[in-house]
Amino acid sequence: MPNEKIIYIEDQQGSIETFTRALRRLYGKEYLIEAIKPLSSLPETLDRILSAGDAVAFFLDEKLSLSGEANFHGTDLAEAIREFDYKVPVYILTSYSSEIDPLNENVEYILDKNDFGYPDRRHKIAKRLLRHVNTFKEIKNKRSHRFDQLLKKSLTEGLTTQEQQEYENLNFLRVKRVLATEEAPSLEQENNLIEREKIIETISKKIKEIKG
Amino acid sequence: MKRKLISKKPFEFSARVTLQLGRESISSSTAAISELVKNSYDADAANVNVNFHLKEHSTSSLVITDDGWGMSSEDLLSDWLRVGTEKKKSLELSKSGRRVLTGAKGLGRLGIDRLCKRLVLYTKTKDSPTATLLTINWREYEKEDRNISDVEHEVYEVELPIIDKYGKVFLSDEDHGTRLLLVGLKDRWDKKFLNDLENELRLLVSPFRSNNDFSIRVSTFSENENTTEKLGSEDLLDFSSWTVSASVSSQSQVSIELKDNKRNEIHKLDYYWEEWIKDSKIKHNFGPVRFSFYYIPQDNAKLNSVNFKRTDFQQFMRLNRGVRIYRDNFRVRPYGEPTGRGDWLDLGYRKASSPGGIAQGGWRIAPNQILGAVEISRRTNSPLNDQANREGILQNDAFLSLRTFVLKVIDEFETKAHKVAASHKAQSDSEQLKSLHLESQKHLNEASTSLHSSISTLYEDTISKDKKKILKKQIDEFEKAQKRQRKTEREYYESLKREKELLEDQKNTLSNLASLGILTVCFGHEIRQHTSQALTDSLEIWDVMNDAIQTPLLPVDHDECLRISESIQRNISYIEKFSSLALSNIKPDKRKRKRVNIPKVFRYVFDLMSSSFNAMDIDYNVLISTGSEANYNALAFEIDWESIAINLITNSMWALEKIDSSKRFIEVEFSDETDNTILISFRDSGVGLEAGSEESIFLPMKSSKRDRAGNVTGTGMGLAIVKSHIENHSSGKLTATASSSLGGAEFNFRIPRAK
Repeated sequence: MPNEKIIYIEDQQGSIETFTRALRRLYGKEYLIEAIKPLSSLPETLDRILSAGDAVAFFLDEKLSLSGEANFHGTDLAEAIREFDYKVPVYILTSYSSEIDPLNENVEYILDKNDFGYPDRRHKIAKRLLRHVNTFKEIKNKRSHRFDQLLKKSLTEGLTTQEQQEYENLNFLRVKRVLATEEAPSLEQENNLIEREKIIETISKKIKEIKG
Repeated sequence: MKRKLISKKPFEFSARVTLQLGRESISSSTAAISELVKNSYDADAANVNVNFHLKEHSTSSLVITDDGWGMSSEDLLSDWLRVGTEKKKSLELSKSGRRVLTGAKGLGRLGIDRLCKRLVLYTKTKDSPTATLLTINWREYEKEDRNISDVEHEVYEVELPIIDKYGKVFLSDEDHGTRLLLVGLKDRWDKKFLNDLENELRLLVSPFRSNNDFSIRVSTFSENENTTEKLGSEDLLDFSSWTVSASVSSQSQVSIELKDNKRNEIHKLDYYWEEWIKDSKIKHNFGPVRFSFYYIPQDNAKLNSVNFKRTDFQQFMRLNRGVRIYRDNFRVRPYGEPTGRGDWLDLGYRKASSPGGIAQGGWRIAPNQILGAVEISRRTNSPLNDQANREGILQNDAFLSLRTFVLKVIDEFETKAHKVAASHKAQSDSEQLKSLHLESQKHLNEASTSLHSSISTLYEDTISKDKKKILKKQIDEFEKAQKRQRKTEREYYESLKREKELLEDQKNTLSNLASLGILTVCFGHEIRQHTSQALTDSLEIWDVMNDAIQTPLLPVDHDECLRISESIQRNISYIEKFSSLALSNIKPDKRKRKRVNIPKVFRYVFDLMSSSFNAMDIDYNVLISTGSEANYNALAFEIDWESIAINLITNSMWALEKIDSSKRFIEVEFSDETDNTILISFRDSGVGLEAGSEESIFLPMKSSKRDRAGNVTGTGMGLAIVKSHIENHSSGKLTATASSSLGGAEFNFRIPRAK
């Protein structure tokens, strides 16, 4: 069973069903396909997808605000994802490819949903994307290998200034995802915390009462 | 035939040729100085000083100093002393790439002979430890029997500092530029002559003063008085047809003043940013800004009236056109420069996409008709930071919003200026012509009757029989001719009437086609989402079947197959609905004007769009406020009303996409305005119209659909066609309100009732 994920962000139920099936048909053997509906704000959505697990690629619908749940577009989300990972493949999946600037700097390709309905075009898309994903995985492996190497060296003989810089960069990529979740706690999480605090307070009161 | 070579010789030029060349190519002393100042402009100088030292009884001199690049001794020898170098011809921009070259011929230096007897030139490039000195005694050229190459000029390398009686020339390595000292002026430079010179030089200076643009200072030092003046070209702004000044305050208050200089009328517009630019992504996040511009079309009559040469004016516009940005009175480059990113508003592109004249719809200002300045400050506009490479302002959100602001002000101006121009355009009114024709016919009849009666009186009395016969014959002929004339006139009139009917018919067909066009665009857009799902799902079914054939033992997920089939069914049926609407409109009976029940049309279209409404969570309501639904009929083409409904609804969907899904609502209300007039109000809870656009949205090519950089993205044809259907074909009236009781836009149709 594969454990690496391809994440698909879409707000329309009909499209979720259709294109999750199509993506599963293309990549289901190697990767888990997970469809996620956008939450109302960009930071919340980013938080949700970064905490979904180890993603090797993202497919983003462009018109995420159509159903009125979210107030941002797929290209906005792509820009936010780029802040966190410079190299992960990101694709826009849309029925209106002509309305998006094909030179958008944050995504690999703008894919037209209609192309998924033709066997030959779908085949080409699949090959192209697998190549991206594999390259990305190699980069990830290299990153973690190099990190381990530097970590060992730092423990035994210490790092040069240049190595120290590289080490910090790699470490940043490792911890940034965690930071993202910490930086932007969702309203729900905050409420949870407040609730727990209250419970602890009542318990401590009761303990005091018992003691008193 | 025998021949032998005697010698090989080139043409020799008499030294005087040089003087003739200079005199013939440069028409006057003012033009000669102007050419020298242009050389400074081309050398990217920021400051040029033109100092006259005038003496009544001894030699006068002129010093022209600039802080341009200067020349090295190699440049001086290879370029400056070589007449007719091609350098300026092949280059179009100055060394910094910021200026369009002005001096074209490379002959300017020969004009110096016209001005003075002797030239002393100092020039120096930056960081060079020495300067170069060249002296020319023009009299050497006047001597008889001298060849051009016999006249030699001494060139010296001079050590710093260089100071003479006209002041400091170069003091340190840092200094650069060129100083020309013209000794022994030949002309008498009186007030009038100096004034002519200043007027000529003014054209090289931008009307917007700043601390780092090109500036020229003319000073005169004479026995009686010393004067100095920094030249400006502000006076040229009097040529503008319109003056526009706009600002956005730190409280996001937008105010625009459009001044029509021809009619001396001022139009003022005031808005809040959020109601003026409805796209919530485009925020006023760049601080308070002032933007002013002048619309200066070339007006030959006006130019002649002030004795201005057309070519001078064109040069002035070429050097100063565009919209520049000034930060704390310093020009920020490249904005407003002639090349590439200098046209930061894409004025050239806008004009090229809509090249019509000002009285035509969709008119756009041309880049060579606008002189504009945006004023910003480091203190109050901190988001508008410079790029690290100093090549302009960071292309961030604030900059893009500023660009949108500027473009929208230009847009407001274009709408107003077009409206004024169109309303003053002389109109040929066929009704007026008809009454003129009837009147002249009446005059003709009267003249003919009176002629007839006066001749009859003559006829009675004095004339001989033969003459009477001739007269009678002539009168008969005249009357016959008059009859024939009336007959052909009637025939001509009838044929015009038939032609008009034919045109009317063609206009209707074209208008139907326009409606069909709107339908196609709206639905084409809607349909893509459905085709992509239907296609992808059908391929999935094909894959499932293939799997089942290849591995018969693998169980088929029947429920999944049913779900896929349902999805295909749902999406295809949507496409079917549209195709049947499009086809039914091609039927001839739909293309006839008949009684159309408008509420029914709206209900039909709402139903057609239901799946999109569901996806977007939009609620709608058809409200009959007075009387019965069956009474809301209009004499119209059904397709026109279908396209009106679809156009309004798709516009609403666009406006609702930016609103929270719990608040998405569309309403059409039908009420009786009078017995004979139906009022239809179409409103939604979307973002509403941009304030002040209530009239302009109906103009062709106007659209408020903008991308992030403020460029208009909609076709801008939809509402123009709707308006034409209502007002030209249905004798109705269509108006818009920026925000309605539901919060979004409202459109009010007043149309005659069909009973």
